[in-house]
Order: sequence, then structure tokens, then C-alpha cells
Amino acid sequence: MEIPYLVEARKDTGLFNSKIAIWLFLASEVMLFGGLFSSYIFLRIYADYPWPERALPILPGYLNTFILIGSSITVVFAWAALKLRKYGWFQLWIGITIVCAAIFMVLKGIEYNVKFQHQGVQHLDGTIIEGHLSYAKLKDGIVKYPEQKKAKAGHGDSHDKAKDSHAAPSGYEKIPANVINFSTNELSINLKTYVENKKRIKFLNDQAAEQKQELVSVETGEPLTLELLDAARKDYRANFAHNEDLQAKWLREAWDKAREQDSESPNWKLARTLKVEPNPADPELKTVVNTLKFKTKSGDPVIFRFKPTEVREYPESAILKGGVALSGQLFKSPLIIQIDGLDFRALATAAEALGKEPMEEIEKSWLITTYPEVAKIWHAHLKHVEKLTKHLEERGQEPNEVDLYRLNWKEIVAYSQGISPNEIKETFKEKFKGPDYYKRHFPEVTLKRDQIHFESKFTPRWNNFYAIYFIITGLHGLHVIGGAIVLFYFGFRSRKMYESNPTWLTNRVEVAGLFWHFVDLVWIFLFPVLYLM
Amino acid sequence: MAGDSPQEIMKAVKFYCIIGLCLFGCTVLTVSVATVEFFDRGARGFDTFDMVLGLLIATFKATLVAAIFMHLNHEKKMIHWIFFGSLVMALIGFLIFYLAFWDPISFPGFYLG
Repeated sequence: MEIPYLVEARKDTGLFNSKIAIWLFLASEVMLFGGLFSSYIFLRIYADYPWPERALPILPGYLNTFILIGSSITVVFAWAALKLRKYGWFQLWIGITIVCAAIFMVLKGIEYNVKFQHQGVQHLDGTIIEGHLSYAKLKDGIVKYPEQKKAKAGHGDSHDKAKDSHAAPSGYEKIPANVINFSTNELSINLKTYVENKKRIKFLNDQAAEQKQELVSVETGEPLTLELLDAARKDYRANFAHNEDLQAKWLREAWDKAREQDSESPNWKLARTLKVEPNPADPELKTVVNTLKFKTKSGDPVIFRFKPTEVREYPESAILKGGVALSGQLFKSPLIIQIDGLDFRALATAAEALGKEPMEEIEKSWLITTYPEVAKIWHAHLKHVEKLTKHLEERGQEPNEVDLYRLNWKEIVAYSQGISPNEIKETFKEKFKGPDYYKRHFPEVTLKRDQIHFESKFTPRWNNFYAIYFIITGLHGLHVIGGAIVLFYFGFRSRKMYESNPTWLTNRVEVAGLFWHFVDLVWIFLFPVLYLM
Repeated sequence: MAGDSPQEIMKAVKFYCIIGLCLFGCTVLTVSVATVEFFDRGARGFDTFDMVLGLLIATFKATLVAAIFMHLNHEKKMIHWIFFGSLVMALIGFLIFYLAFWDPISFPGFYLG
């Protein structure tokens, strides 16, 4: 039986079926993207940190807008060609639309990759440093700094440009941001936290450990293993549950006894008189061991390497997720970064909240006081701000926070050379991918691990803006891919349908085109909201 | 909308080209308004004026796409109800942030007693 109303319109609605269906679907898509835009508005208005305005390079989004609008035109040309029964032209226009979709996704992929390579760090005083990770010598987990810095690490003086742009110069190893070196010979595991978090702890060095603990039936000298931890966790849970059941039983018995003695008082009054104090020496109670302690067999410390998200570290102790505490020494695990962006807005906001002068606090910040090169750049920036203020006064405006406290890469490069940022000529590639680290000089700073408040690549983890940016554009990109697949099917797998029922194919292409126009419509709002505002 | 005769279809195609060029022009205008200092009226940088102007241009572009490319300008009323109904719901969703102003901590008397 043929499905009715694929070609001719229904009498009640005046439309063929798939048209109503696609519009209903588009209505649900409006709600989907509307919800995400609503989230963006909420996050932006109530952000408790300076929102990254114009943080994204405009050129990729600009090109993508032209590409999507162009593809909207070509898809409607394809539909018109089909109405004129010109199948060859229809396939050509559909092919161009799909090529536009592919170019859009390639540009988006390049954009995403640039962000994933870009590093952000927030210092304890609130300074935000953006840039790329640099290199240092790394030996046996202990960082040793080069005695002489001949070539600037990360620059292409002795570097072959044909090689991977992120490869370290010879004699250097790249310091990953995701390694924290901690030396210890003693660690204790808080079982309660371990049980609650249900995490498995992985140790790179499986050291022999001494533990005497009757509940887990561990003999002295038995090594610390995951099986041992599992057994300890089971015992802990079983004993804890047993004690809880016992306590409930005693409460029940106490209640029954109290009720026998006083049958008239209301429940709530009687409950207030009940107290059950378990006797720790009661033989029915089981010992709940909260902590297991392990030491290295030889007593010598070993070096553990953790990811920053797994450990909260202090100079002489560290606490892992899952409740493992280590006492020892935090080894040098620095972040060495070449700066292409500075943001003092958080520091300035905090200073204002405390009634202090922001500019004075910035002068006292760790970065300005420790690195003369950065201080020079900052002071050159202040002179530029003076000139900008005079210029803006003529327009009846004044510098905003971005003008005062934020430096982009062009300003950093220009001020370190003693020239104006307007004299820096940005190449087409740099407008797309950010500054060229092999041609331009950027100041290099070293942050000790205990100076870092937060660090991340420019991923959804960095801040809410990037989280919502990746969600919305990622979802939009998936819609582009889905639409392209459907258009490909109709463009290049529909010969039989065209020959048997061309009007039906035309209707289906129209419906697919409606979806494609909607994808373009979402981008029309996405681009200005995320890239320009 | 493109009717069924070839002449009407070709006329519609030319119209689509004009609308496409208009969309390109509006895109250039959007970026110029955001990046060229001459167009920076009101407070320096991004302010309410920039937001309203940017969204107005985006809405105009979206209207062109919806009305001409998606044929909304001559669709049946049922389609209008479906699409614009969802749009109204989405716009109401954009205003959810306003509920945060009704924080009872800053609104004494919200709780009885």
C-alpha cells in the first residue's frame, strides 16, 4: 500500500505529510537551540568573573558564515533545478552544498584544534596568563632547569619548520601540564572517603608496603595492591553496615522499653528521652578501620606522578581523589609558558572589592614583580592606555576594563619590541590560528605548581564561556554533518526515485532544504552572539 | 515561491540570488559594526546598543532566510502557528534569567511569617 499524501496535499491541511513533519521537527529544534541560547544568557549575566568578550578570532566564524549562506543558496538552486527536471544541475548544486558543509567542518576543526593547543593559567593572585607550553629538561621526574638558555625554548632558531610545530628542540623535553611529581615514603588511605568515592587508585610504582591489620587479614610485608584495597573496602562496608544495623536494633529495643514504661506520652516527646550510647567494648560491635597506612619497604621515598585534576597538593602533603593522603615533598612540577595573552581583570576586580587601587595591586602582582620583561610590556601598555584615554575623550567615551587590564598577543609582541600594536602585521594564517610562535618572540615565565590556582587548555574546562561555546557549536556542527549526509543521499542515490516519481523527490529535497536553512539560521545568530559580543 | 512554470522558477531563482547577496552584505555589516571604531557608539566596547544592533541585524537576516528560502511568506497558517509558536516559547525561555531577580533573600516577606 502506498503511503498517501507524499505528493498531493491533504485536504484538511493543504500540505503534503513530510512538510508538516519537518516543520514540527524544526519547532523542536528551535526549543533545543533556544534552551542553549537561554543557558548562554544566564551564564553570561550571572558570571562572577570577567566574561571573555571577543575572545574568539573573528575570521573563522566570518568565513563560515559566508560558506553557510552560500550553501543555503545552492540548496535552493538544487531544489529549483529539480522542479525544472534538470537532474544533472540538481546534482551539481547538491554537490556544491555538501562541499560547503565539508569546508565549514574543516574550518571548525581547525578552530577547535587551535583552542585545544592553547594553554591558560590563573595565578593565585588572580592574574590570568594565556599562551603555549614551553620546554625544560626533565630527568627522573625531577625538573632541572637548563644552566644556559641558548636558543629561546619553543622558538625555531634550531628547529626544522617542517617538523611538528609542537616538538621540543634537541636536549629539551616538553613539560606536560598534566604531571605533578610528588615524593613520599608514606601514604595513608582514608577508607570512608575511598568507599564513598568508589574510585580506584592507580599507582605507577607498585611499592612493597608494611601493614598489620587483622580485619583485612594482611600479613606484614604484604604489598599494596588493588586487591588489598578492594578487600579493605569490602570489610569496611560490611563492618560499618553491621554496626549501623546493631545501633538500629538497640534503638528499637530502647523504644519498646520506654513505651512499656510510659504509654501516654506522644511519640515526639518520648523520642526526646531516648539515647542509645553504644559501648565501644561491646563484643557484638565490629571494629571499623578508617585508615590504612603504608610505608615503602626500604623507607626510601619514591616519586609518584599524578594528573592535576586528581590531586590537591601542598608543599609537604598531598590528598588524592578517593581519600589517599601522602606526606612528603612536592617536587618541581612547573608550568613553563610563553605568554601571548594577559588578563588582570580578575585581579583588578578583587582589588576593587577590597577597596584597593587596581593598578597598584597589578604593579605588586607576582608576574610584574618577578619578570622585568613582562613589567616592561605592562608599562608600555599603560602609556598606550594614556593615549587611548585622550583619544576616547574626544568621542565622549572612556576605556573599558578590556582596554585597561587585558593585553592580546599583538600588544605583547609590539610592546616587547617598543613599537605600536598597529605596526604589527597579522598574516592570514595568524588571523585564523593565532600568533606564529616561530616568528614572534613571546616572554617566557615559569610558574611553580603551588602558585597555580587553576590551569587548563582552552577547552570546556577553562571557563563557562568555552563550555557553552563548544556545546552550541559542536551540536550545530553535528547538525551540519547530519544534513550533509541526507543531502548526499538525495543528491546521489535518488536516480530511481527521480525516474519513477520526480515530484516526490522534489518534495523530499524541499524538506531537506528546510532543515539546511534552519541550520544556517541558527548560525546567523550563533556567529554574532559568540564571536562578536 | 517558485510556481510550476519554468519562467516562474527562473524568476524565483533570480530573487534568491538577490536575497543571498543581501545576506552577504548584512554579514559584512554585522562584522563592521562590531569591529570598526566608527560604529562604536554609546559606551566603549560591547554595550547594550551593540547588543541590540547586532541582534537586529541577525534577526533581519534570519527573517530573510525564513521568509524567502524557507518559503514561510506563502505557507499555510498551520506552519506559521507551529514555527512561531515554538519561537515564542524559546523567547520565553530566554527570559528565565529574570526569575533570579526574585531571590527571596533580597525580597523580604517572601516567606510567610
